[in-house]
Amino acid sequence: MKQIQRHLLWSAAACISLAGFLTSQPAAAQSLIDGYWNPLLHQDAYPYAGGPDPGDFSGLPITEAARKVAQQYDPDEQTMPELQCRPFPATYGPRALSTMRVWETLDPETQEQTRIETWISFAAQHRVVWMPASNHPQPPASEPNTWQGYSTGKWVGNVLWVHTDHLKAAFLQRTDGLPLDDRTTMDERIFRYGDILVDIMMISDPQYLSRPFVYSKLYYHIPQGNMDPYPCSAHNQVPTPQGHVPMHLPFYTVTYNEAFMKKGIPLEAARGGEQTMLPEYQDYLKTLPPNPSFAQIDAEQQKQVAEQTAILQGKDR
Amino acid sequence: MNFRFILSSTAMAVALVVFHGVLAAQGPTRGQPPGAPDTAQKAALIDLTGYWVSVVDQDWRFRMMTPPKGDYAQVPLNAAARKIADAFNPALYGGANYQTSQIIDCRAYGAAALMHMPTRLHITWVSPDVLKIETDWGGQTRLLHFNPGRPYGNMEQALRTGEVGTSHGPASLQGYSVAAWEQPYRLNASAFQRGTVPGRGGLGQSQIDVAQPGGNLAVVTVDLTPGWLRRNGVPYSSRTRLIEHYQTFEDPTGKQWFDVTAEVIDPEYLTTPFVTSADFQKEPDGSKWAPHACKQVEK
Repeated sequence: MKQIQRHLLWSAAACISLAGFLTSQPAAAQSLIDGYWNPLLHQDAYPYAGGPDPGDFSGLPITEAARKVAQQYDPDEQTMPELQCRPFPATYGPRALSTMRVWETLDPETQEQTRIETWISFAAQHRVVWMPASNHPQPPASEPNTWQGYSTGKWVGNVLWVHTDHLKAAFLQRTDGLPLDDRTTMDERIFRYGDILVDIMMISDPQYLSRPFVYSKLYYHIPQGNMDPYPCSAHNQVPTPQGHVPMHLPFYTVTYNEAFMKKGIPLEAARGGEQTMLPEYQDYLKTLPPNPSFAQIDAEQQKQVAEQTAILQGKDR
Repeated sequence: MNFRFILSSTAMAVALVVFHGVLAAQGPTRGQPPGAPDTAQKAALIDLTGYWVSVVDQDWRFRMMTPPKGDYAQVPLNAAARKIADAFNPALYGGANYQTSQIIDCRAYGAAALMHMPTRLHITWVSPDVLKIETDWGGQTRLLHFNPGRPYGNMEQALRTGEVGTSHGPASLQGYSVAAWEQPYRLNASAFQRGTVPGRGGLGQSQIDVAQPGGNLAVVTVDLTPGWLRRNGVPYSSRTRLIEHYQTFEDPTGKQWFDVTAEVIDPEYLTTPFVTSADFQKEPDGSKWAPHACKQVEK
């Protein structure tokens, strides 16, 4: 009888413990967004594939300082061997059109989520989001900034909140020269509806953005994914003199190409600024004059190129 | 240790475990938990009421102005749809200046594209289970109908079971929209087990059946008349089904926003679902509300 009682005692203790576990409430680790994701190409594909047309800043909350920096940009910069393998920053990579893998790392003892990592195949962008259980120390201000920066995250319900700082000075968009300062920070809200992943990126830059750039990026789940390697090596694609840095001199207008002109975007709207993002700007668009023809624009640009070349060669003024 | 005490403790613990299992076995749409709000307005998981303005920093040239005739980049159209889009007549919308005239066909403000158009919104409850969305640009009104007495739901499952997606009457530009608040997935529960329904994890998982904060609005719209996905006549058909999800968030400056993700499914003109998103920022009042009528064109 005593043996039966002992068995029952152990059984009761086990059941009570189990019931206690079942009713416990703390939530820590989640694995909501693991897997392979492909960017959806139904919106904003053009500016984030090869890059936007030079000089098209429509709908971007940029400052005059950003515009001036961008006006000196020459897309030929992309051919410089020193820059061919330049990584994408965390503020840009998720907006570009490349497969992304997301995985979590759990503490082997507690099984709490310590890191969420992402790998974007193009330019081999590897990002680490440190979760609270990692107790990862904030890097000191003296530590060099990086392309991916320092990211911390937390789950609020089914939404992953991420904050990123310690970012290198980079670009808002490729191929149009819009800059981002090294004081840039990014806050994200990442969540999913079934097979659709939404990454709301809120980029703040005290120097080059007049308000946070709020951008919702969509991905679609890939049930069976893989990653290609990205063995980037620099080549001298366009023969240029040693030490030549493609750029425009200050105070010259940017180079509009024929593809941009065909879209019919008024040149003033293309200057961007936060006013271009709001519905009332549609009323203003009505008042803008028609664009000059591409032939006129091209002739003016050729003239400017000739003037700049002369200045650079020290034969003018 | 009293034998009767041990026995009763065991029985209680076992009963608790079994109770968990019974709840877990219940279907996710079967009823609400005791004491749950009985109207959608009371049950709201996020507050969408008030004035909102769309902030257009994506697809600017497709949204703020009319793209060139025949430019339907990014939309997964089939050949029949391209033929219709190519028949767009700029002369009806300002002639040479049609891209910036802002003479916009009302079909561009149909439900499948409305939230992607640059506009202000005024969102109000017209009854405890009907949320109204009005736009100043295009002058449209949408009504989102919640299921009376069942404000929470799971749209993905409701679509599978046929609870939503069926016709509710004559077709219109804004169609008929069914809405539900979607509570977050519960921790360690299946994807169909949201906040109102207990879930159950496997052995070795201590955190099961854990409710999560937050949630979103899900809307399914059918009964649509043919409309346009873009201002330059890119069509969608009357067979279109629109699935939307709304989520609120706050930006680093403390401003309130919501994001709406729209999935347009059209077996007649689209080769795959067409998925876009739009972001709206809250405004303190309606002082910037500026009605702009759209153009009715004889079809």
